[in-house]
Amino acid sequence: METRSARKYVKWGLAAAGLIFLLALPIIAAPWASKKPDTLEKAAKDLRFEDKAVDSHSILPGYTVPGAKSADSSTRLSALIGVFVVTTIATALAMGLSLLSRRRKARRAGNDVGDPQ
Amino acid sequence: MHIPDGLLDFKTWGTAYAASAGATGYALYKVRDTLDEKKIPMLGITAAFIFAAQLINFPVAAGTSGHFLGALLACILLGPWAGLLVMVVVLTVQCLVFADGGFAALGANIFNMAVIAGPVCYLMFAILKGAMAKKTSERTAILISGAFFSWFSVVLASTACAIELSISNIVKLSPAALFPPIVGVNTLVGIGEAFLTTIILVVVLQSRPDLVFAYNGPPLRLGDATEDAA
Repeated sequence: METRSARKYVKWGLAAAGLIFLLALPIIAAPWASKKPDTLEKAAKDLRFEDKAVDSHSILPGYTVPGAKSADSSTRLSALIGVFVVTTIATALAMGLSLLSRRRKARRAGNDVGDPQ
Repeated sequence: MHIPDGLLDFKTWGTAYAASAGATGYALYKVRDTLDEKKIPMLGITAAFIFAAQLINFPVAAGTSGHFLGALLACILLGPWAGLLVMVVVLTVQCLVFADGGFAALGANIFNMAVIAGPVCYLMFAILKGAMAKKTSERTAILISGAFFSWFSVVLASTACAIELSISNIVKLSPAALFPPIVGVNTLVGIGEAFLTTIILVVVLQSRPDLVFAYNGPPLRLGDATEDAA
């Protein structure tokens, strides 16, 4: 029994480590990503409709953190924040849906019990 | 491919918002009914990974870069509707927190990169995978159909983007002018998408096929054989 639960902890530990690695890699590598414009930006430049685009307001525009030490750390910090925010919202959404689903099933079960035979 | 504000006219971004809201609402309803509690962490992890992977732009043609999309991957792993929701979360955070994509254009960006690249392409993926699975193993069918349709999802999403720009009365350019730089270059970006999607699917199918929504066969885990023998 002990070896089985120990193996389970090792499995979970490895999975967690793998996940952290999988997320840390792009966060660390983010500043090294190509800074060339993406297809839409390039088309906007070449076909001259760039000036029609309007800048949007946000907290961390363009994946930069105002007041960060360097451009690289600014990118990495915003990447880290983004991963955290996305994970929190996605998980909260999933948990919320799961809660709604359970309530619905409970209500259904309650209704069935109350039906006159 | 995230469209900024100012390039789409009201009829275009309004219609796109309506379509995206409808699709998202339907997805919420479907996922609520079918969500397996054990899959909850997978939604968060997939969203995190897709957000992180989208940060890594890679050069494609001269002077242009592309990035991973992940919509079809999300659908293959989580199912078409949960995959759609994951993409909606990623795109919305990108828009609201990082100004990656305009707020009015968010409906169009969700339509292109979550709805079209997600459930629409998943449907096509599933049809081809089903047909192929009769001749080859299910795993091979998933990988080949996944590779092709992840490429196609990028091309189709960029096509939708180019069409939206051309029908808006702002960027007064014809599809003939918009398609080559947008759709044409994205056929190259799609190769990167297919590559990364396939690698991830190979790894996940090998280790935890039970985590792949599109895989219906019995999960084959190395652990099972040894634990039964113990």
